[in-house]
Amino acid sequence: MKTRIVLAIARKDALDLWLNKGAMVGLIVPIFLSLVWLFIGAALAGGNSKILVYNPGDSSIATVLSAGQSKSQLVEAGSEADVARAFSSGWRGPSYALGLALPKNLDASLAAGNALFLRLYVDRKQVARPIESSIVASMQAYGRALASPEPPLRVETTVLNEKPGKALDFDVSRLYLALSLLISLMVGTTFMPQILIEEKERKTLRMLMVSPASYGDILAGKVLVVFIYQLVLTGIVIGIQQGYTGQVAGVVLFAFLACLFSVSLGLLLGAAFDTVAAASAVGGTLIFLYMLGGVFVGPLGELLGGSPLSTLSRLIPTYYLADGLVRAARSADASREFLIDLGLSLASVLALLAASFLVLRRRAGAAASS
Amino acid sequence: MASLAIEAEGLVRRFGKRTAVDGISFGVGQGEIFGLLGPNGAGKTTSLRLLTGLLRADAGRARVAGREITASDPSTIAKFGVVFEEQNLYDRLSARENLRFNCRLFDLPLSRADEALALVGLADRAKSPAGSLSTGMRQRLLIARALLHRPEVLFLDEPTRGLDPIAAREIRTLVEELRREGATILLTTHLLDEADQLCGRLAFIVDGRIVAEGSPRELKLAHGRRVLSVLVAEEEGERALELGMDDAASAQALSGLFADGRIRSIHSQEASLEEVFVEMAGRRPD
Repeated sequence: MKTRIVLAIARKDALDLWLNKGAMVGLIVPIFLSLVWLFIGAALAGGNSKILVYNPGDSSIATVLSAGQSKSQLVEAGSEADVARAFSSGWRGPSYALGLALPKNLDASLAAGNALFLRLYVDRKQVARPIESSIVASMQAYGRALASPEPPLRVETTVLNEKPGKALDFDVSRLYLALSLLISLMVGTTFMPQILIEEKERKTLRMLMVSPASYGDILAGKVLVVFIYQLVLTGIVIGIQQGYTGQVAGVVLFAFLACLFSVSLGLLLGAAFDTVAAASAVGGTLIFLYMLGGVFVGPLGELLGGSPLSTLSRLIPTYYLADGLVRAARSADASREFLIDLGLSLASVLALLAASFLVLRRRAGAAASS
Repeated sequence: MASLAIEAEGLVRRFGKRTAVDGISFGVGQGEIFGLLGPNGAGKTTSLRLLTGLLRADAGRARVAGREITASDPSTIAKFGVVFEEQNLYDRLSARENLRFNCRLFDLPLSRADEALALVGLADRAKSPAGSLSTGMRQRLLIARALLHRPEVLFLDEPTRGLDPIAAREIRTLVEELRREGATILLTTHLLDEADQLCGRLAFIVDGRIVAEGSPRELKLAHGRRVLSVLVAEEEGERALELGMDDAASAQALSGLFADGRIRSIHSQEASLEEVFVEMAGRRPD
């Protein structure tokens, strides 16, 4: 493989895509949708919610509470009794969405395998049931990450104002983060087959095959340019959705895997089809399918957990990419689910890459002489 | 003949049960324009793809500029340029960008693109997207692209197909200029007049086989029927006669007409390439 030629092909394709108005619309759509969802999320999320925490041992579990809320502010309590008082019916001070009093040695006790009990205070006017469930699940996941056997941590909730408020305090930002990630993947799935098949349709591949470029150089140049477009777009979309939180390295890792997934799928489509129209039709269906994987990720997935659609969505590889990204953004570190997400995402990317190379190898000879 | 720039020896290519090229052999000398003529589907384009390494031959061998064509070997590829039958350009890119892309592929200075555009008379359209150029301009751009790396041999596949008469004449003029500059050119065409005008030598290819080869004049002399068109005075008016130049009966008839003083005009008439083709192939080219 010759770097100069690979870069020449990548440069030509980058310029060709830039001059292609249809492709540019394809680039703008995910950014536009992300911005729309950002505004919808902001409108639905309501105002800032305050979380009152007594955390004498500086346990990281406190961050789990804020990660579950789209806009939140941690307020330190002076004692365990202050937290209980703030959630009593006669309390006249500032209102809090959540309250939690932690023992001084929480993390050490969990690590020692002690079974602990925590009380979570919830103001139902500010925190809906799904988000409460999500927070409890995240706290238990935190406990599991520190020690076995299960369950190391029991969480009970005390609810203030049983009647829900008008504000939908649902973690919409995380839902949109998953969807934004997946819609950005349409770039690789549509651009890759387009620039591969156009060479065949325009018969320019023949010209390339009587130049110093090998078929491998041509593929490498195209993969490079689409991967860069995909990576930049996914990076922008995650940024718009304020996704670089929690474990940023995990977010970046899953974004990278998602880009590889999309480009590999595009490569497979480009190798398998001879016309852009056929590849676009199949690609469009696949994009719709893998978007479904993102709908059941995060709070909505927890809310609808156990429904047939939610179960079916776990058959789609993009579910694990989106779930891993959202978990990383929520700081759900090193949980079993996180590792499962990582393993299955990696496996699906490798399987797609292998399938693409197999089909490309079979069709390389025909491509040159077509 | 000077040393050979293109050599084909017993080239065979089959597609399933159909034999597209059936053992063709020919040689093209340096600085020569050689034409492969034949109807559509005769095997011209397949032969050209075998010679450029785009297709592998099932049998036989090909050499271009002294190098064996076995696969897409970069050192051999630099020796020739190809203008394909299809106008395969990047339509969204400008004429200049199309050429600069090839400069980068062949590791040439980018200034070569503007030189090539000037050579084919497209300097003023350098910034125009290739898709906005007329068919004739696109064809000239394709020739410029094939000439960028200054190849020893140029392959032209149906260079005037689909062009209007003016654009076709421009391309033929360009090919003649290249010949004057010493380029070796192999062109395929189904246009016999074009081959007659451009080619020093040509081969008729029919059903994958070469059925005749030589210079246009040699072929006409060897295979065409030479005739005299004679206008003869009659008692009432005049009559046109066609007399063969190669048979005794015609000679006798002609001397009789001379003796009678009845000949008003006489013209020799050479066979056309089309007549030669019909005689060799048993049908007209498409």
